[in-house]
Amino acid sequence: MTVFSYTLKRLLRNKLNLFMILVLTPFFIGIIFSFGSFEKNSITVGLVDQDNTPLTEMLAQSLEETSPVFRLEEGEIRRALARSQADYILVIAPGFSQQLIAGEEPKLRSYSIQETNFASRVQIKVEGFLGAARSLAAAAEGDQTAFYQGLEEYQRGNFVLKSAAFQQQEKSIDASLAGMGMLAMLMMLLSSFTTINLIKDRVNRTFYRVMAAPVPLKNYMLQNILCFFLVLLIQIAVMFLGVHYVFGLYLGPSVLNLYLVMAVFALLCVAMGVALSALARTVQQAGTIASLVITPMSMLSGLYWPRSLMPEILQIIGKYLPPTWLIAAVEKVMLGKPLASASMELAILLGFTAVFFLLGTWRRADIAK
Amino acid sequence: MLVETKNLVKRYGDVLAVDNVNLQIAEGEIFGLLGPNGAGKTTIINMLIGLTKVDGGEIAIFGKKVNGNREDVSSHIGIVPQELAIYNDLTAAENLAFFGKLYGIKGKLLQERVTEALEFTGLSDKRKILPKKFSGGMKRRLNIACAIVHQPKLIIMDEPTVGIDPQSRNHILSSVQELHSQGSTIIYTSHYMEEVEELCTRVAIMDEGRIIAQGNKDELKELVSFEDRIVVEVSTVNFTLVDEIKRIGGVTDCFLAENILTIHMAKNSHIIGRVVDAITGAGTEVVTLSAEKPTLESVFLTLTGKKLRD
Repeated sequence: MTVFSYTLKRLLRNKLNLFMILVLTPFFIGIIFSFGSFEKNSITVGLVDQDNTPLTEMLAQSLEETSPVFRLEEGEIRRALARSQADYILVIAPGFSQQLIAGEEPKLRSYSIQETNFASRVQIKVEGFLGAARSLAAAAEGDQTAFYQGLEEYQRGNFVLKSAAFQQQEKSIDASLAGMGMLAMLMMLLSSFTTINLIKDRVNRTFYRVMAAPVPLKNYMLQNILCFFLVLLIQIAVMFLGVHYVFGLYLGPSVLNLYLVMAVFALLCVAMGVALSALARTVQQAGTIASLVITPMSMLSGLYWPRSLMPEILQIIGKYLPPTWLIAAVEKVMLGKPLASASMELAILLGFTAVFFLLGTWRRADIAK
Repeated sequence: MLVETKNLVKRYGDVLAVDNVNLQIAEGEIFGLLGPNGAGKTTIINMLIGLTKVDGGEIAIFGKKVNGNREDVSSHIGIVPQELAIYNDLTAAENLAFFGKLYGIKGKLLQERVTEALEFTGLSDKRKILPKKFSGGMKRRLNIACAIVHQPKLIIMDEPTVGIDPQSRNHILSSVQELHSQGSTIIYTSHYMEEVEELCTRVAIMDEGRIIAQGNKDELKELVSFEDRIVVEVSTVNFTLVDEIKRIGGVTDCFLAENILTIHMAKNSHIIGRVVDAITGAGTEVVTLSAEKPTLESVFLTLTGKKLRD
């Protein structure tokens, strides 16, 4: 691990690097979200209630506290979405209440016009309500009367059910999603550490000298990748601590899950840096390519603003860009869903990572050149 | 043989960078690769250390084929690249420790080797200094120290004196001789004829990817020693003297520039005494007399029709 330890030493010896990793990133993101505005936008909810029980009625009332709710039939869903009568439609199947009170895990179906961060507020509301209902159902042990009595008490606010995942205000979730987007963009920019270092080593011929030693190329690359990956992991941790404790940014119900998602993206950033170092001949070239790639990619992937605000064609293009899948994964874990629910998004990110690594190594066949 | 290449070939597109090169380098030699820029010297070096793919032929070092044994072979080779290959953000000692570790040296032995390499290159008092504060010559010396910290059996030096001051150059040349006296085998590439002539026991002269001559210095000079040449400084100028000398059997040419007579004569004609007699007989005196031998520069000029630094 000689290459790893000395590369880390060189990186951390540079005071500018340390400042960027430890201070600038959390400060930058924190300041933006301290002074930024994340007011709620109104979202219209369509409700297809095929169960029609007191429980579903209470759920509808709960939703009406924050959003206009109108009722419709299942056959009207497509038209309502197409005519923008509803931004988000929730379908409650027959027997939903009975299953929930019996302690089962009935599923809700939902539809929206497009992937949108705003929909997360409705999902939070629904999950918050159903989380409380599930807890009451478990306490009532299948007794419907006891269950509804408890639910009425809960709605009157006579007791609080611990449901840590959904206690946050919607404003905090939106701010946190945007915060993660900003962090992702900064991580992509900081992947230039990888690029700059690899190019510098190539230009100043130390790469040549290392390769003349009994060190396989894959070993050298792996140790560099590990080093820069570690730096990004430290940066995410510092940023999480900074924005949470200093600026009070909400990091979701499972900070560990969020950290793991960001860690996968960190690996992708390092891979991107490796690929860029193979494509660019000089540090200046790498800087130009990075600027031309990272900024549009951040815009199209919804790191600056929700993708739903962009024209459809740009949203389609965004699907082919890695940060889009990061934001999708972050949204899931921020909503308290298990990490496994974001496995498709994480697999796509890892796929992009593999492609970048391949791009970064295939052009190194003749090391001496 | 410590190093042996057979019909080595390297192509870059349509350009034949190395053309059927055969080298044999014995243990303990300082072997010079002499040739102008672009002759293919560095390409051969890169193929020897396994960093450039060989398009044809074979390389064996320490009796092992480089292809398939690169890491094993390279662990006993030290390379001094043409360009400086040092980390400017690591101190001199850290640079040496890093490269030493890459060759598997650890702990106390590593510290000893670092100290020895610094002493050898005269950088002991600079061990904690970053190379960016070094002069060009000091950087060159650190470049060499990084190559010898693991005490390799074979040291390859690719134009190690390019662009440095005469003092550092002399230091490097004496370092090469010192390493040789300690038993190292050295491959030394240069386009400076004087360096190769001074240092090397055997020399291969390269041009346009080919070895055009190979042997020890005397063998190479023998290739162009078809005549002897003497230069005589005379006390007074006498224009009839040139004709007198030309009439001596064995003299092929003679010309006078100011009071310097340059006389070309058939090889081993042993007529210097007759030349001196002719000069004194013409009423003038010999101030100085020197016999000129062919140089590697003249060998290269004769074999290729161009100068080394063209």
